[in-house]
Amino acid sequence: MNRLRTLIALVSLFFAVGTPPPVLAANFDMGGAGLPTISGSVGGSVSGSSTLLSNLVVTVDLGELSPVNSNQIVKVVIPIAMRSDSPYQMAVSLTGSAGGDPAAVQFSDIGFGIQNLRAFGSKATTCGGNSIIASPFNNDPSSTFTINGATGRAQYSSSLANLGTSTVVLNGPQLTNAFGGAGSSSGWAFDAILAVKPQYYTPGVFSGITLTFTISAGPAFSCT
Amino acid sequence: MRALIGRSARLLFLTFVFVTTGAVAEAQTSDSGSVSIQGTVSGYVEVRAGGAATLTNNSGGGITNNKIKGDKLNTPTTMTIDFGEVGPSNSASFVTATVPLRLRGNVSYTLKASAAAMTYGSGTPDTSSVTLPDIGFGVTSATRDSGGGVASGTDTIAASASGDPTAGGNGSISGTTGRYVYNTGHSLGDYTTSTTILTGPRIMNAMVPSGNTNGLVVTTVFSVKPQFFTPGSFSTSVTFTISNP
Repeated sequence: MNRLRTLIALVSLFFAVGTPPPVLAANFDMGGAGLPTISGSVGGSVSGSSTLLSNLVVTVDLGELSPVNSNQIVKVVIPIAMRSDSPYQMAVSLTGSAGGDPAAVQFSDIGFGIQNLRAFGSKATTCGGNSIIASPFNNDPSSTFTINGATGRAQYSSSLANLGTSTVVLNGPQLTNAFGGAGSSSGWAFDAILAVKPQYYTPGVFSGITLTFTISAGPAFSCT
Repeated sequence: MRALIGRSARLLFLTFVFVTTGAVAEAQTSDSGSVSIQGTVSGYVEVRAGGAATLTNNSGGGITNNKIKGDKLNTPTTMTIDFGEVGPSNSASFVTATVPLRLRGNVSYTLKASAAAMTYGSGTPDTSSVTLPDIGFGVTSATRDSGGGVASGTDTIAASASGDPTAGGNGSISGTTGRYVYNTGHSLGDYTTSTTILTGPRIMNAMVPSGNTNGLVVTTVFSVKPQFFTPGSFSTSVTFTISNP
C-alpha cells in the first residue's frame, strides 16, 4: 500500500516538475504569405514556402547585376504573414558582409522596404491595419531610388545598410482574433521588397547575406 | 483499499487536469524566418559613340546617321562618312574625319581597330585607286570624363597609332612616287587585322549606366590627302572592338 502511495506521489511530482508553468503567454507566429517573386533579373531566382504553416525560409539569387543586365532594376517581393494575440513587433537582423571594395556591391546598394500591409483570413483584427512601418522602411525601393548626381550611383530611401543586429521594421496591435494555433490562417501580411539597380560594380559573386525576421512581443498598442 | 483507489483516481485526475492545463498555456513567444541573398557581377565593357563625328575640308560628301554621345555605333543605324571628292579638284591639304568614341567598363580593357578590304563601286580600280594605305588613321586623345562615376586611371594609346595622321611627323610625300605615305600605324593599311590601339584599367566605378553619359572619350581621326587617284568610288568599314583585357 505504501509502495502504491509512493508511486502515485512520484508520478505526480514528475508531472508537476516536467510541465511548463501555466503562464498565459502571448502567441506570435510568422511564415510565408505566398511565394516570393523576382522581376528584372538575368539568371536570378527565388525560392521559398507559400504557406504560413511552415517556417519562412527564402533564398534569393539576384542574378546578374552588371550592365550585362539591361533591365531598369531587379526587384524581389517576399510576402510575409504574421499572427499574434497581443501587440507585436517585427525585427530584422542582418548578417554577412559586403565586399571591401567600395565599388563592389555594398549593403547600401540593396534597397529594402516594407509595403502592402494587408489582412488575411476571417479572424484578422481590424486594428492590425494600424500597424506602423518604422522609418525609413515605408517605401518600395524599386520606385523610390534616385541617382546620385556626383557619383552616378543609385541610392535608396532605405537599404540593407539601415538594418542592424535587430532593427524593428514594423509593430502594431494584436493581429488575430482567437489565435487558434498553427491550423488557423488569419492575421496580417506585408511585402518585404528588395531592389538592386544594375551598375558598373566590381565583378564578383556575393553571398552569405542573411536577413532574419523575428516577430515577438511589442510595446503596448491598443486595438481600437 | 477502495478508499485508496478512490484517492489515487482523484490524484491522477488532478494530475491529468494539471498537465492538460499546462499544455494549453504553452505559448510561442516569438517566431523567426530567414531570407538569404546572393548575386553576381560580371565583367562588362562597351564602346559607343563619344559624340558627333565631324568632317572637314571635304568637297561634297558628309556624314549620315551621325551619333550623339552614348549611341551604339552600329544599331539601329550605322554611321557613314563620305569623304567626298578626294581628287585634285579638292585643293585642301587633307580631308579629315574626327570620330569620338566613348568607352566604359568595370574591368581593364583593350580597344582594337580593324578595316575591311576596300571595295570599289564605280570605275576600274587599279594600283592608283584609293587603297587602305591612302586613308590615314590615328588616335589623338583618350580622356576620362571628370567625376560622375568615372574611375581614375592611365590609358595608353598604342605608340604606332598615337597622333593625328595629318601631322607632319606621321606621314610624308614619297620622293619617288609623289604619293602621300603614312607612317606605320597611321593608315588603315596597317589594320587589316584587328590591332590594339588603346589599353587601360577599369573605367567606371559603381554607377548606373543611364545615370550620365560619362566615360573614357577616345578621339580617332581618319584622313585622305587629295591626289591624282584613279576615278571611282571606294568604301571600307572600320570596326572597333573592346574586350577584357
